[in-house]
Amino acid sequence: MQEYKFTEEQEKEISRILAKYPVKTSALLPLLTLVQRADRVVSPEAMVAISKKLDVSPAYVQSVMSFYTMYHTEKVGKYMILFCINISCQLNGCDKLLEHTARKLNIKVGETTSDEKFTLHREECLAACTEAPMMRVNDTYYGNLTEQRIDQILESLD
Amino acid sequence: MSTVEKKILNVKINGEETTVPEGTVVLEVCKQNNVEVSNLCYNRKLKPFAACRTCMVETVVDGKKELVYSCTHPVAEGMEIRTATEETDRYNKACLEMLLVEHPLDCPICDKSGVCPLQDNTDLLQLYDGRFETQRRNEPSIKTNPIIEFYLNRCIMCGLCVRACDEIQGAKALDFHKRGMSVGIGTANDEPLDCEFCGQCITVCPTGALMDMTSGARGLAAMFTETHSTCNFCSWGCTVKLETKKGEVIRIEADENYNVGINEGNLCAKGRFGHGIIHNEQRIENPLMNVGGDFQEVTWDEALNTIADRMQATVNRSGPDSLAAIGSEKLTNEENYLLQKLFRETLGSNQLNNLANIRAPYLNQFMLNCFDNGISSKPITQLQEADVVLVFNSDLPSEYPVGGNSVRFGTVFNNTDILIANPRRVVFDSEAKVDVRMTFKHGSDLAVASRLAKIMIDNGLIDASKAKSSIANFDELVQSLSSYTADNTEKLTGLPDDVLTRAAERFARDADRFVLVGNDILDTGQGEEILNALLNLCTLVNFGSTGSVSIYPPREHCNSQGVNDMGLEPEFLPGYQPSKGEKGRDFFENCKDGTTKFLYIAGEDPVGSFYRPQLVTEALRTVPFLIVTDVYMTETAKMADLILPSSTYAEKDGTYTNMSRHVQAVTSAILPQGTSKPDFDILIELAEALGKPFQKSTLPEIQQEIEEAAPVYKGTFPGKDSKQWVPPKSDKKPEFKINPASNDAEAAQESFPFTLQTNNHMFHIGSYSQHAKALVDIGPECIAEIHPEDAKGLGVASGDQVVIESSSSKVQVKIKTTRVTSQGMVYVPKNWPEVPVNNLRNGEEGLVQVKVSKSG
Ligand code: SF4
Ligand code: SF4
Ligand code: SF4
Ligand code: FES
Ligand code: FES
Repeated sequence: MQEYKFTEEQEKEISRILAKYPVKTSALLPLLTLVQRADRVVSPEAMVAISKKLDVSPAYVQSVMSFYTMYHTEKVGKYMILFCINISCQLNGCDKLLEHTARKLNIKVGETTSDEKFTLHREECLAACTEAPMMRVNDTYYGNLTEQRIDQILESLD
Repeated sequence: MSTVEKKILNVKINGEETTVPEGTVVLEVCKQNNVEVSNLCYNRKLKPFAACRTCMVETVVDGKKELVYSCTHPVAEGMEIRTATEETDRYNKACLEMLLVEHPLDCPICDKSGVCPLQDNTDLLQLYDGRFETQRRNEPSIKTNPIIEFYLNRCIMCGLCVRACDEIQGAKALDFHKRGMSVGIGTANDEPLDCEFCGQCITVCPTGALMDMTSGARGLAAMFTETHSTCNFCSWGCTVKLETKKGEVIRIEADENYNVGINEGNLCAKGRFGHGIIHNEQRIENPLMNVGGDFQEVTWDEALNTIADRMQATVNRSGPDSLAAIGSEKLTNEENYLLQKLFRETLGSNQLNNLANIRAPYLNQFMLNCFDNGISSKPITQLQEADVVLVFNSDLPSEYPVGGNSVRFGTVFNNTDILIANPRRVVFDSEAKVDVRMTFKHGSDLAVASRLAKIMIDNGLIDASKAKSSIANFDELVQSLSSYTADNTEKLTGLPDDVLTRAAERFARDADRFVLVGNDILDTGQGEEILNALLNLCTLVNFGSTGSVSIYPPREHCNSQGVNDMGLEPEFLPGYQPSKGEKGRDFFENCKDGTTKFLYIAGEDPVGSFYRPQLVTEALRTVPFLIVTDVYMTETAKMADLILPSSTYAEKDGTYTNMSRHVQAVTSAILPQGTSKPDFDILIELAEALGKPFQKSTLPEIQQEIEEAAPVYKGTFPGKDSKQWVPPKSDKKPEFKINPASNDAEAAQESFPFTLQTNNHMFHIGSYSQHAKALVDIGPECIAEIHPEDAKGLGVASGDQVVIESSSSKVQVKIKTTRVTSQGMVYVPKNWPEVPVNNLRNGEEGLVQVKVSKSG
């Protein structure tokens, strides 16, 4: 296994994160997030690197990471689309919209486009029911979706 | 007992009154009082966890009723505990029912069947008709490592394996994966398990999710016959459960029941998976006579008569002391006793010894010195209650793995402080709040131990006036320590004085202290002086502080202690009664110069294991008649005139005495294999062949004889309850053992810039482990270690072959870089015949200087 190298910038960020917690282990989620954002994946090498930073076992990093759905062991697209399929969105027709999006991107739900631009996933309630149906693209919420609006949004992302 | 006293509380269980120490959890009280409570994720060796939720009981304290999880809830004064009430049953059943929804219930092919907590609890709660449709998981079994099979469909997510691996073993190789319906157990990145292979995870698993692939049969473990015996590898002396079926040993398990042996159901890789040495095609099958360089099979009668004739002829021609014998650190006490009896009483020779004593006769003396100074040392079962443990030059997880388990337990439950002094940065993960690491310059052991004593005196950490009034030569000790100033010591050891001071403070305070000394001190050439210094250290706290102190001499093999107890050495008869016989000079020199005409080696391989292989080879070549009894064709056996095939520990009865003097039963689980005989039988028959049969010849009779010859053994037989033998009160005055002013640690020579460190690998010890397939699978090749900086300098990298060369010899070996091994040293485990590290030693004691270069 190759050694994972954090960038200088990341090292600084890690020091800032670590300073926030009295117990090092608490920084596990923030570090996983840091890596996921930068690499769009948490590789085995990165897991080992994180485990060393926090003095925990690689098995423990794996256990926490695999508990959460927001960390990925396979590289995801530049834009991660989380499509809410819970009750409010469901009642407002999310199924058809999700299908539309998949067709538009020419992938199945759960897949990534060949240009690695988009990944499409189902998600449980994203706590924005007032604007159902909705989806989340990376950190941005888009509500009151229609097919046209989805097309516009996808085109606006580059 | 720890010096921290625990309050005793009064509680009632289902109306019965009982008392328990404060801090005990309710479930433990129930178990100890034989009250059954359903539970699946509890283990008394682990921290409270509460994953399975099947252990609910009702408690009433001050009239207030509560429903609590008994595995995590501590008792309180006056608590009334009620188990299996209508209400708790309802809850417990509901939780168990959920666990069963997914369970495959493939009991007939499951290794746990019949000894399965999941079955037992289902039965206990009478959960016969489930309300739910079962949805079995059906994932393939994972068999990516040679030892442990993961069949996770049976996993109930109790977390016991994860916690055992972390808390007991400190290895942290396993953890939970994912969540919800897809939850499982696994390694980081699902890589093949590459761990210490202790197998604790298999023992603690309450289902058949983890299985021992070395087992000779699958399923229905309840049908196996169980025999409790004592492990035949290291000197820790774990109780093993040999499981047999149709006269064959199928596998070895640990027994976690209360008061079984000294190991609380912990085992290491060797003890658990090393059973491959028992049924093995490489075993010597028949007595073999060397006829002109070829071994020819002979009958037992022929062999024994030849030996007897030769013995008699040698006594007649050259006198009794021209016959000599090496007793075995791996034979039982009874066998060793008979061997010395045959030589001393029947033949009249005092030329008896054992390999450890030939090398380090000071070990026994050290033990006796401890006794004289009032340090008789507690049973090792109390190690887990220690307040402080000093691990002196021992890589615990490799040398005494299960000792490491006890120490870790202490750090979790009794706040044990850990002080580790070692030239390598040995890995020892535990929960200790105080964990002082003294990584000293290789070879400066003496300075470390001496400085600790000096700090205790100088800083007033002990009551010096009390020590002085009890021990006559106190001033002499002070004088002898004077050169170990902070500066001098730092120069010698590389250790800043505040580290040593911290260690001295923790050691000197009111505490129950245990000192575990590694066999590595023997390699320094200063073993005796180091043990003296440790004796002085312990004597200082024994007289100048409160609490207790226990220290045991380093012993390597399963009966390294017992072989000495049985008088297999020229100075002492059984029980350390002084021997009046001829003391002789160096054992192997005696052979080499022709003084010894007849040599009997019982189950030892000095050519392969002694630190002076060249001398041994010459000696054995010279001896006119050499008998070797052994299980395998060792390098030593190959030089014999007659080889007798002996039986393994699984085929014989007797006792071993472990390093802390616990006398423990070895019990046969199967009949002697092939024509092999236990050494016990061989010796009885040899006496008969000599025409002077022993008057007593059964095991109980011999044990009785031993009790008479060695009174310290009184009451320790038959060894089923692991009793420690206790020395009689010494009438000698305590005294410090003053070391001569030393010429400490020489500087490395330029041409040989590295010092060599060798000891037993975690998976191997002695001459048998290389015959156990499982141990070879997990520890296939010898890998030397070197610090990455040194490697850079040499231009070598992990995986390269290197040549390690001393002034006398060289070996080729694969290398790995690691920061565990300090700069300036190279570490080579000594257990691979193809890497004969002892040859590098040039027959001399002391650290060996070597150079390392890339091979080819
Ligand atoms: S065998 Fe021992 S070290 Fe390996 S995973 Fe199991 S408990 Fe951990
Ligand atoms: S594998 Fe066994 S011990 Fe480990 S969590 Fe599953 S059931 Fe428990
Ligand atoms: S620690 Fe020693 S005695 Fe215990 S199982 Fe391992 S080798 Fe055997
Ligand atoms: S259901 Fe879609 S945001 Fe809550
Ligand atoms: S034994 Fe108490 S919750 Fe599992």
